[in-house]
Amino acid sequence: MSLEIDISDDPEGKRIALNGKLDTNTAPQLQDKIDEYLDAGARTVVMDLRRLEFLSSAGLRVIFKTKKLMDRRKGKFLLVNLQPQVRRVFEIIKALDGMNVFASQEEMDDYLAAMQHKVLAGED
Amino acid sequence: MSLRGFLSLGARLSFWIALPGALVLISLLATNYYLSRNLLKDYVGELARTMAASTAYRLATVFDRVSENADALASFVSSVDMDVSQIKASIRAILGNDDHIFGMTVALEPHLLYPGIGRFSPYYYRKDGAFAYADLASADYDYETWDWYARPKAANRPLWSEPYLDTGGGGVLMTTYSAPIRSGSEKRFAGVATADIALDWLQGVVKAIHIADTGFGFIVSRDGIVIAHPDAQYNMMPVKTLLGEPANPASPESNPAKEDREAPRYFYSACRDQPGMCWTAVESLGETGWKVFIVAPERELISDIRALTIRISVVAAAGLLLLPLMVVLITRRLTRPLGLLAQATRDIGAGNLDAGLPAPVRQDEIGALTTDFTSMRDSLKDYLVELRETTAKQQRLESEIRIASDIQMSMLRGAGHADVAQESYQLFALLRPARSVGGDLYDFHCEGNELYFIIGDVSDKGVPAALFMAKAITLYAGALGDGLSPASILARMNDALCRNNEACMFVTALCGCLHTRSGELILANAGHLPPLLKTSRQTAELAVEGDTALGLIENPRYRDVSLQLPADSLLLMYTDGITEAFDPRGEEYTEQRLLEFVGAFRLMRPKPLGDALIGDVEGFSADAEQSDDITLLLIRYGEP
Repeated sequence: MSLEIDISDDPEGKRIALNGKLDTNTAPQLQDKIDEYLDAGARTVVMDLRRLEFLSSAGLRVIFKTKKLMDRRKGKFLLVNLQPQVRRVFEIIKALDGMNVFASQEEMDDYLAAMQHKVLAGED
Repeated sequence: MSLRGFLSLGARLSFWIALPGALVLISLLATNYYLSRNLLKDYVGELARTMAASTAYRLATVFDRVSENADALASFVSSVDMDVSQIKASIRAILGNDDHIFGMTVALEPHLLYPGIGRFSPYYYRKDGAFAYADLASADYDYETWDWYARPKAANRPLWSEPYLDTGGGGVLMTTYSAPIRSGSEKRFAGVATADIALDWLQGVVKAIHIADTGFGFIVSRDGIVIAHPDAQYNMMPVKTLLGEPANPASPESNPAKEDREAPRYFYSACRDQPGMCWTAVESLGETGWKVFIVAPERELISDIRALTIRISVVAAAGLLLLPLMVVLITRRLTRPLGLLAQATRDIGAGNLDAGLPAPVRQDEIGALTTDFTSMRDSLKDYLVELRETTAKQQRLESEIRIASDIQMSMLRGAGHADVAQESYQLFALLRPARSVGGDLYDFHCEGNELYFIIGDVSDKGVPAALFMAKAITLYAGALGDGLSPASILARMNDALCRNNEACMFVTALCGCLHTRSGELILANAGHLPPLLKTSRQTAELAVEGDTALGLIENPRYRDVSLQLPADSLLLMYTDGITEAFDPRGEEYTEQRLLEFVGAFRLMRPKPLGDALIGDVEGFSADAEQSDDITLLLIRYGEP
């Protein structure tokens, strides 16, 4: 079982779409890709887990590490489209607290629009 | 062995070179023999014809002169009025003039030309170098009955007689030319003037005919009687007895016995006196009606060609025998480096990488092979050195990991396999890492009536997880002495684990404390799978709400959950190595199956249940690789 990693440019930063299994064997691949593509210019990283079938603790570690990186950069790390079995992994270790998790793309877009509005309002 | 290989290569080459060579030579020789034979056939035929013609010409010259002399005598006798002595003198004069004439006579019709002369035939012939005389008009000879007289008389024209043995004078085999003597204006037959040719002269002519060793010639009369043959025994015999059956009787050329005075003919037939075929040429001999036969045996002439062919064949065969030898020698010379290479290959195969390699001799395929082989050997050498280093490194690493594994196991109570039986509780713990070292952990500690325990699972597996596990289990042991509740222990551990956790490692843990007298249980859950509780009535998941796993965030909230264990109940804690064990098809073991297995198990004993559960998981996984560390912690509350 393998993992397809698709990293594309987003207006705000990077969008990482995962397809397949994120486990001990594939986690290093994802880590390498993230190290390679996530430059300092990326303000927002969206991880789309719509097609992620399996998530192990090794995969969780990479996700947490990415979140930590974005926190340090004062950027945003968003998780979207968590499938039930993936969401359950997060829930068991109670790791969703403090994470920006969205059930759907619309929900996330609304959130991002609101954030933008807040920023603009702050500038006024 | 290598030498035999080269020989067989040489032999193969020799065979494939010699075979077409032999075929070419054989076809060349056969063609040569066939063409030569054809050429020779034509040549022999031509030779026979030429010989026949020249012999005929030579005889014709003599015969012409002889017949001219007889003609002259006849004309002389008829035109000039001569007496007997004048006639005799004329005969002698002509005889003296022409050596080829054996004898001559003038024979007259009685009283016709010379009324005064009756039967008259004075015959002069050669005898012992002088002239002899015989009177053929004598009663015992009676010339008028002999062919030489009767036939020209009947035909009234000049004629050559058939050969005959004359009894009148010479007593030799002879032929006679008879020229009619004519009388008066009406040209009445008045007698003949004759000239004899002794056949022993012809014998000399035919004896002089030679073609190769056994070719010969003979002369045949008009009536098919052999006149002169080198072998005198055939003289006076019919020619048919001499000639073999014609090769092609249908051909007009093939019947020499037939009267035919036309152009010279020749034919090809089986030889009569020797095996094989003979060319026979036939040439007519002018007015005599005789024929000259020249016989040329083909076999004798062809035997030269045959001898030549055999000689060439011997040379060719010698060459063909020499050819394989040369090929073998050349092949051996060419493949000598291959033999050395083969030897070197065996040496290298046996592990001697410093085996001597032949230096490339020639710039050919074998030279290139030798060069490539050398570079291959060198690469192999380098590779082996590298491999040795890598292997050594790996072995070092493995031994380090083994030691690390021992150290890790020594951190666990019972070194990963604990079985404790006390008055009021029994405990069974098992830890089986997926690799040499793992990230699962368990620990337990009894303080008076309180049994503290923990089961944990570090994210990921292998060495990083093992290091984090060591930290976590050390932190747990450190927190135990201070009389903290399970939630406080987790909080303290989390504080320490969060610090400088750049790798974002985390550990889920279920921490608890059982009062072994009262059965009161306090549990705190840091993101771990909830435990199962098996009682005599049912088996169910204990709802112990989890908080955040250890190491992820600072200052999370951890809660103690209190509950009372019924007597004779069994608490089962595990890591996801059990529920996420995969079978060969990739299916998970699942919590459902775990629940069913534990519920169906009859004995309320930690060790038998633990062993059976592990056995079931192993049976489920079958050949599939263990995907994650497996840990079980079973605590039974109750008397043994």
